[in-house]
Amino acid sequence: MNDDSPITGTPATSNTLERAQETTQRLQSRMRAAIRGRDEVIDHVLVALLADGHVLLEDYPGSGKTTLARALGNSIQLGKNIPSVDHEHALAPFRRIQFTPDLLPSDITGTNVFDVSDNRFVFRPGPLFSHIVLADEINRTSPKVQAAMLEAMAEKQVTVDNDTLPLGELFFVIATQNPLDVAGTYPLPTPQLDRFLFKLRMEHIDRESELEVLEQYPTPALKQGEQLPTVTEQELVAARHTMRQGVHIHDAFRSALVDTARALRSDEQVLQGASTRSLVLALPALQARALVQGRDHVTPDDLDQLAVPLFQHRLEIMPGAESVAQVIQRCVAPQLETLTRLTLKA
Amino acid sequence: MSSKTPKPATQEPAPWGASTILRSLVVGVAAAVFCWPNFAPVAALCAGLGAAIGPWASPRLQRSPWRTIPLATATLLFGAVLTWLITTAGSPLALSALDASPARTLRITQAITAGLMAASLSTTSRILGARWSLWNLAELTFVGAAFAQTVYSHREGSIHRPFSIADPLVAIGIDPTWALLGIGAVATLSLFALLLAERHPLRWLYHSSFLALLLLLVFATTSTIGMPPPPNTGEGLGLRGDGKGDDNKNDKDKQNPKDGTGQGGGQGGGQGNSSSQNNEDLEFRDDYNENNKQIPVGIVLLHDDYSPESGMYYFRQSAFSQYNGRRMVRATRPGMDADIATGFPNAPTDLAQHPGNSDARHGLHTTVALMAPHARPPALEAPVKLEPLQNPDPNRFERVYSVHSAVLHQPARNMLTQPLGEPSWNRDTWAHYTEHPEDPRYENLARTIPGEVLPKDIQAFPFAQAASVSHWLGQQGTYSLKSQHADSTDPTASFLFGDLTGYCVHFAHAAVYLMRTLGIPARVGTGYAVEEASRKGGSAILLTGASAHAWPEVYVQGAGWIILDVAPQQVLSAAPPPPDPELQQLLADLLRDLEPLPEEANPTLQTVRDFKRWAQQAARALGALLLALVALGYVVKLWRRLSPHLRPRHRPTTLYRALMDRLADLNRVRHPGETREAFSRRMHTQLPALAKLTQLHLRHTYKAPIETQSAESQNSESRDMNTHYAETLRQLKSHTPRYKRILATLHPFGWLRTR
Repeated sequence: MNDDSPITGTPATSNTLERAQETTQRLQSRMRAAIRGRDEVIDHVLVALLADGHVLLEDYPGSGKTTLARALGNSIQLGKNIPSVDHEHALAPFRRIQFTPDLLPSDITGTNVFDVSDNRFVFRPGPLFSHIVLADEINRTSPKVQAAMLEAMAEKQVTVDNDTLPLGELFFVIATQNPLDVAGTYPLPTPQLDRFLFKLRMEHIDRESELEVLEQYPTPALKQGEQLPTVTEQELVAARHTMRQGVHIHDAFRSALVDTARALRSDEQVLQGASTRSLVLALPALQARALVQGRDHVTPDDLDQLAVPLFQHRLEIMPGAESVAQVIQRCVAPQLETLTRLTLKA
Repeated sequence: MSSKTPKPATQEPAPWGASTILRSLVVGVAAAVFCWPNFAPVAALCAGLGAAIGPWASPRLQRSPWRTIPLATATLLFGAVLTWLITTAGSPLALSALDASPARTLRITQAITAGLMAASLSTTSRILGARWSLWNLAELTFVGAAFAQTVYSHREGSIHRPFSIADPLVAIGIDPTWALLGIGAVATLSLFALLLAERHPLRWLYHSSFLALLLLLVFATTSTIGMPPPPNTGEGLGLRGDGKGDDNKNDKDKQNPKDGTGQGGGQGGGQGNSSSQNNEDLEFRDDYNENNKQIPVGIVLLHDDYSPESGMYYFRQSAFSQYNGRRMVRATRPGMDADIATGFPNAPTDLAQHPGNSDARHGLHTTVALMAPHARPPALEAPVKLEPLQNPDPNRFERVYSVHSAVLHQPARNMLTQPLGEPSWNRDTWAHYTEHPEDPRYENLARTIPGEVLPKDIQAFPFAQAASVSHWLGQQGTYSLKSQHADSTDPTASFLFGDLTGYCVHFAHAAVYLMRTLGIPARVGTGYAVEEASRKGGSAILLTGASAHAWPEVYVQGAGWIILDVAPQQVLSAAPPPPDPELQQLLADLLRDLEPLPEEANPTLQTVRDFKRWAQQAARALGALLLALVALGYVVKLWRRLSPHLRPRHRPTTLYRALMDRLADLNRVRHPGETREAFSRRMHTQLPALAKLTQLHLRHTYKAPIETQSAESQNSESRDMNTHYAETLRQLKSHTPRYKRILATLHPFGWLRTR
């Protein structure tokens, strides 16, 4: 897959792991320079990117999601084009799709256009053909478009006129939806939500960060981190691979994940529990967070920090006193305690 | 996303909530009880009402923007100033308008003062209590103290105190003990109720179980029913047989109280006290302990009017006539001191060798009730017949018996010319009663005394000589409870030829030795000596520890043993105050009036006794258990603190655990479900170095196991841990006051909270 990666099956040497950490840090510092007061969200987005998952952001208009996605896109240097797309259409670093009810699947995937000069149909790629896609207000479009979008997310490929076209290897979707404004929307069903690795909530940033944002006024926010070094697509893909091989997950974490899922399923507040797929997806997520934190092993803190974004969109909760996050924290706490106590057993 | 949940704002108790009502009720009652003994009833009532306002008023005041200390100070000042204004400035005007009498004026002023001050104090206290939970302890202490001070005077056997409670009850024939126990119950309930006002149920459980433990201890260690046992030490006269035998007897009583009282009732087994008699002994002490001597040990009822010529009632319990080379001991030769009872009577017993109703003596009947265990029955001298009596109140009296005595009705001077000893005495008897130390100084001194003291015409009479010895000692000696003779080989010589400073045991010995060198049969008698004046004209005589005494006596032909007590003219130790006449009267009334009660007829008392016994055992077991637990706690604590050095292989774990123990001692504990990293973030402001140490520690557990580390990297990791550990300790030290660190070191169970 990549020249840098070590032989599959052996643990990554610390040398390549350090390189992966360095890549992540470069990306992190670039994004932190561009976006103020969102360190936690940035970290989670980076974790999702490394874990090869997608992110659903729930937030309010003007909270910086486009800035976030664009900063991420700008930080990744373009690599080679998609080999299967034959012509001049290079893969864009970042595309934004504003979802509306009248949007058609072909508007996002691209379509075959009749080229008069060549006298044949030529595929014109849609906005999905880019590294970072911002799917704005994904719940405002029809289920048909949502289905096309989610196929692209799950399979990293699009199907146009029975032709299946692969997307970029880095393909990463940041979808957003407004948690309050739900009139005239098509809410995503739980199975489709299950395809997102994380659902993140963006709370309003604190006073100091907001002041900093205002102080940047003459310079556009995105210019802030531009002088910092970027990462290349290859580096990111290599980091992904190294992470999977090199970051160690203690056996206890697997049982902790399974026990958390079981606790969630048997909780009386929960109507539908977490899927097994989510547990499989959780493992790279845990590794990715360890990498972002500069570690070569997963610790309970990773599970603690990721449990809510990992599971909160996969659960159906009985309408009642507790919020989803509270239920998850309640169910994961005993597992965290077990994991934590492990360390003092000499 | 973060695991922090917002901390709920400190909730105010609802103004009509159960906790407020409860608190207000308890504080009100406590304030009223506190004021009751010293204030007019109206004032006590006002104080109660005023104090009850506190719990209502304080939450309202706390809503003001003021800070706690200024608010509390202002409340207190406001109360004081208002009181002063009303009582000093305002009331004369208003009262003159009301045309009140001076007594009424005083009562009204007192009521206003008590009410206002109680209100402001209780409000202040509640304001402080809401801010600092430790203040609640002060409130609790006040409630406890308020009740305790009302019954405080009911100590040391003063069962007739406090008068305000006991008098009305005694007048209608109820034992005030029950009323006092009732007050104790109310106090206990109040304390529990005050704890009930605690908002957190778990904390309530914790606190009340602590209180229950405390009450159990108090109950187990104090005497609640009957007389408190007088302390067994420091007497040195051996009256109560403070030895093993006595303890055994006590134990037996505890195991079977019915049996114990049965002896008093005349049905018990024969010489039950013979073992304790061996411990009956006269001892010289340098420091005669006078504490708790006012606790009553017995009460004597005279059945006929009798005023002794000497002005003192002597209740002889024992006599010491055998010289053992150092001091006088009980006679072991057969037939000696046969007038001393061998034990408590089980049936009417005539005492052998009594002088009978000679012309110097006449009969007198007395009843004696002892409240403390004794080795033998003290009896008004000279006893001729002992009879057991049924114990009217086994809870109060140990033994009850009647004594027929042949008391002396003529002054000793009438006997000046009487011969001493009995014609029937053989040589051995004479030798027994006149044996004395070989030290020639005694004889040299004794020969000079009669000539010094007596007129020439009676110098030859032996009884006059004996009297002169007592007189001379009284003139020359100094009475003091503190002396320094006990260590010498002959304490009596040390006393007599030394500073002549000592107490009754010294004087009695000196007198007996001197008399014996003059050929006078003499011995030391012990028992109780009570001045006639303390009878106050009544027929009851209260025996207390303070009236225990030893005296010399000589044998006069036909009259028996005659006491020639020494009355020192110089006194260094103040005489103990006379026994409380009212207590004397009350105990006498109890002895006279109480119907004999069989033990079974009072099952409540039996239950209380059983419970007390159980409580004592439980308290002992609990105490031992607690001690063992604390010791175990320290051992484990020490082991965990030292294990990083003892087991270097597990250092990354043990070092971190040692640090967590230290933090737990200082109440910095990881919450359940909180990860170590989250904990170190929580501690970050104070202990920045903890984060790195935590990382290293977690790495040790969670890193890939197959990763083989070079010795060098292992060493550097271990060095890193040591550095961060030392750094964290330094940061911890700089953020903790010294007293907290000392307390933390002393905490035996801090490690239990380490997770």
